[in-house]
Amino acid sequence: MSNRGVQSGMAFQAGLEPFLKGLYQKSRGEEFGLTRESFDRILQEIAGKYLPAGAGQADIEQLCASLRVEELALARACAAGHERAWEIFLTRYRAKLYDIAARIVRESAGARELADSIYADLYGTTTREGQRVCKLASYTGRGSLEGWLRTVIAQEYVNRYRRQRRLVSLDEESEEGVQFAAANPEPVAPVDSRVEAATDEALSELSAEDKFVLVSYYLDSRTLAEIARLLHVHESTISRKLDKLAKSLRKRILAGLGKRGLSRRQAEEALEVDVRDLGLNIRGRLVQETAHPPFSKKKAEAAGDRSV
Amino acid sequence: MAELPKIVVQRLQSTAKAEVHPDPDLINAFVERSLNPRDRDQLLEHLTQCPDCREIAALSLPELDAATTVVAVKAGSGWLRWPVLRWSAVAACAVIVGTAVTLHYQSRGDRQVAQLSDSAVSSAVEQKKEPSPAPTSIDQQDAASKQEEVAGRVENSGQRNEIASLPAPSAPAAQTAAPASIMPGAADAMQERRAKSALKTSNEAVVADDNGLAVVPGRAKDALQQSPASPNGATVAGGMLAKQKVAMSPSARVSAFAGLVSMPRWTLSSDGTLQRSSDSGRSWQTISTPGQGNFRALAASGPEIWVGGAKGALYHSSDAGTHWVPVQPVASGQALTADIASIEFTDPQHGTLTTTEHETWVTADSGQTWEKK
Repeated sequence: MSNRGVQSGMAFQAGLEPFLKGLYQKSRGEEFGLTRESFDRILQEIAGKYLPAGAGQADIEQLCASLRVEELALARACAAGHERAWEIFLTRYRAKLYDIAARIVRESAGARELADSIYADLYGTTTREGQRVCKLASYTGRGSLEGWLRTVIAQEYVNRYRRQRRLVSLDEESEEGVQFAAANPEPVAPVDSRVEAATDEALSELSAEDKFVLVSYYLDSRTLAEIARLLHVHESTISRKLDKLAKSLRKRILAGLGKRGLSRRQAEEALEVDVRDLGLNIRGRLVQETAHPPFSKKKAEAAGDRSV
Repeated sequence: MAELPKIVVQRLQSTAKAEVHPDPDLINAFVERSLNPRDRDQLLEHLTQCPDCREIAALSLPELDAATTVVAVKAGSGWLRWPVLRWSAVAACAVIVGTAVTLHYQSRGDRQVAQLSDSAVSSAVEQKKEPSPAPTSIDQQDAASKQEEVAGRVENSGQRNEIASLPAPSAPAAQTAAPASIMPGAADAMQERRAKSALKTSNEAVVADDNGLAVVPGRAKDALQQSPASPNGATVAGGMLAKQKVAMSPSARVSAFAGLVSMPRWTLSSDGTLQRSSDSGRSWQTISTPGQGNFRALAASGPEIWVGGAKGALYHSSDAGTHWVPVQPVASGQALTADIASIEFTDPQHGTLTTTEHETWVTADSGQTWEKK
């Protein structure tokens, strides 16, 4: 995910020619009027987006080989308005689009509205600077096209839900007359800064996957099965991992507090006191809006130039 | 599960929120496990900070594992389908008629059926090999044919239900097993079906199909291991259970299937170590393997276990993980060096490897020779 947002494309070396030729044949882009030059440009754009500037030939080859080139060619041909490509796309994905929306929204009218909206984005009913903006042009083939559609629908659903929630919440506040009430800040719990520092230190030593498991389970209240599916492991693995993480974190925090001059008993008391005083309203905190609406940037970039 | 100190939850919540977000391609690639390790770690790092992206990733999961769906459909798991209903009705009729016949014989003082012991069953096996005239009606059956009936046959035929073929075959009975009143066999077959059904529901990764038990690729890649020999010496071949007519007493069959349910299951942990569970996944033991571990692919069928990982690391055990042999696939003088992404074996001889570089390696002789496709 390095060097996100670089759209200028990456020049390919001549040594890649046979490899790129093979990819082009595999993509069957010719059937959709996608020329070899256009195909190379697409690959260069994708390589520029996902690889660092100094990436070698092997990295480029590895990335390009991992792409779903056939689906990529289809999506880009659709974006270019190729009629036959659209026919194929609709045959393969139109029904799925509505099925996916129905599964996510779980309410038929809402699902249909969501699917219609995505379909319009995919078709490119909006224009920017005189150019038709087609969402399919942002598909890069890193996963399946169907999976990408699922993610795009999920993303739109989360955006809508968040917008709707904000509106409802303001309306409700207005009705209840609390919109302009004086702020009633939560009483700040007296958390020992040494406990926070020791906890942060212990958390920073965890791998990204371990942290993901923790936040998914404790903050998002996901089930073991859901987390296991996301990480492609058995749910018993997640269960064991959580148990192990809870124990080791406690141990590390206690050790960290020891390093900060607390005796074992004081350290344990600090943890316990903290637990009692905090009185965390985890659920309440979870529904708080983040300071930075995550997708606002993306929405502004209607063409779908999304990058980390 | 150990309790997590609440300060940890608080600090996790207060982690700086990400401002820029991954594109749908990356989230989808993460869900579909097609990201390279570096990108995956970066994305996971983002996900720990971004509840919205976690929600999107969770919603992006396909409803069911595609592989499970495909195999389940192949196995004909739809209980309300017409063929299933039709054959179920026939099987139910067979059970009713069988019960009536049993009661009839009991009233005549014929206790032979009830007195059949395991030794009688084994004699029935021998008897089945010899041609005998087919009985023309239920009442005309002799004791030998009754023994044969009780011995029945194990025919896990999914939807085929050959057991329900009530009309007596004109060919010698022993050639094709139970003729005429095959009700005990039918009842046993139903028990077997229930056992298979229980297997299917208890573990999504294992489904029954026409070939018996099939390991569904993907997900945790759990697999059933072959059960030990049954009390009668009849062996239930893991993954190859069906298509073999094995003479077993009803009790032996039930115990054999009970054994199947409690068979070891296999999985790979998130750090790539091989693990086995003997209690249907409640607890898992790490199995020591040669090499560095960090496996990414697993195939298990009976005692045949294959694990594969980075840089073409491939190991095979033919004794359920006790001993391991490194395997180096070579085709046309070129050795497999890419990371192994998946292993599938349709039977102990025939298997396919795929690599992260989209190579496919095929063997038809338990890994002795390989062909690159």
